[in-house]
Formats: sequence, C-alpha cells, structure tokens
Amino acid sequence: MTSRATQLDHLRAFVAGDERAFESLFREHQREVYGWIVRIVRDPTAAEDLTIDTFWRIYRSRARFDPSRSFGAWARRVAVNVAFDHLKRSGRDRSRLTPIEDAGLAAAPDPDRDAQRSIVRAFVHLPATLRVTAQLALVDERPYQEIAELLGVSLGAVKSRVFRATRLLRRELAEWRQPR
Amino acid sequence: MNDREWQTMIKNAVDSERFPELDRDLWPRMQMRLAARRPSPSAWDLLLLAAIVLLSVAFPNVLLNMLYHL
Repeated sequence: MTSRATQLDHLRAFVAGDERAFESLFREHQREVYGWIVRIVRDPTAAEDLTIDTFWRIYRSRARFDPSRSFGAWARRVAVNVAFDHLKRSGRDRSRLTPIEDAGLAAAPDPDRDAQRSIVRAFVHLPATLRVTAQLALVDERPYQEIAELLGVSLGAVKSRVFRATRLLRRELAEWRQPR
Repeated sequence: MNDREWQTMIKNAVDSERFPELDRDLWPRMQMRLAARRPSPSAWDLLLLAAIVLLSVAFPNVLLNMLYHL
C-alpha cells in the first residue's frame, strides 16, 4: 500500500470519527497551526488557546471534510478564520501592545527601532479584516487567490482590503515620515 | 517611496518581531476539550435506566412482554 493510500485511509478514519486518527493529525499539525495563528494574533498565550479552538472546529466539522483533499490546506483555512474571529472579538483591546513591543518601548531611543515600532503599532491598530488580509498578503506574501480562498471572499475584495490597509498604514505613519 | 518599497518596509517591520515556537504538546488540553463537550447522559436518562433495571428485576415477565410487543 502506498503512503498516499495510507494517508487517505487515515483521513477517512478521522472523518468517520476515529479519535486516534484525530490525535495523530493533531500531533502532526499542531505546531504549524500554532505558527500560522501566532503570526496573526501576535500573542503566544492566545495562540495556544486558538490552536485548540481550531482543532475543535476541525473535529466538529470533520463530516464535511473530503479526505481526498489536503488536510493542511483545510486546517489553515480554519486557523485563519479562528484567528480572524479572535481579532474581531478583541478589537476593543487593539490599543494594547504585545509584551515584546512593551519591552521595546522602554529601550533607549533608536530611530530605526522607533520606525519599526510605529509600523507595528499602526499595523495592530488596523481593523481585523484589513489586518488579517495585510498579514497574509504583505507579510506572509501569500498569493491573492489563496487569500481569497482562505478568507472565503472574492479576489477583488482581497485587492481592495490590501489597498485600504496600505493606505491606512501610510496615513497613520505620515507623521513619522515627516522631517522633524 | 513607491508601493513596493512601502510594502517591503511594512513586511520587514512586522516580520522583525519573532514569536517563540510551540514548545509543548497541546494534545492533553485538546483531550480535556473533547471530554468536556462529550454529551453526558441526563438525570432523566439515568432515572429511566434505573426504572427499567428495577422493573426487569422485580417483574421479569413484564420485560419479556414488552419485548414481545416491540
């Protein structure tokens, strides 16, 4: 039996509700899923909780998964949407900096570092829809078509969001760009 | 600064913050979530089960009659 056939059997077992198959998929993909999420939410503790939420959603909707398709791609779509929902829920806390950024603010003044911090600060203040799209398009450099599929929106919506995010960031940072 | 340079600057700034990789297995937490959400029998289910057991012990024929009529 080929490894592809073994994998297919494994995915079929997962779809049928086999918890061992799910455990195996969980252990295989948990680090990858966590990595995708932490880059979007920028909070390691929240990312761990959201990784669990992602796999919980995956487990609950396993019956809708087609075993002939890529589990990784499906998991990524669920993870991005879980992270996106988290950003929407925590939108009111966007003014809060991550511990890493907080530590940086206490450091000695450094123009390059200040510029980086200004960009990161403006970035985390973007509305959730723009922030997730900008993260995937500008930072992770994923193709627009893939982003559209991940977020379940049209290609035009992705382009529009990237444009709006860039314009907002430019506006936010215009002050910093002015000669002092 | 053109769009491309601008986007490179955003990427470099946002990417400069590195987050630690996941250094532990989250499966035990996942198992707890699975166990917590697994439906447990309600008090009525348990009461009904107890009644059936008592009935079948006290009046074994009743159970046989019920099975016959099913």
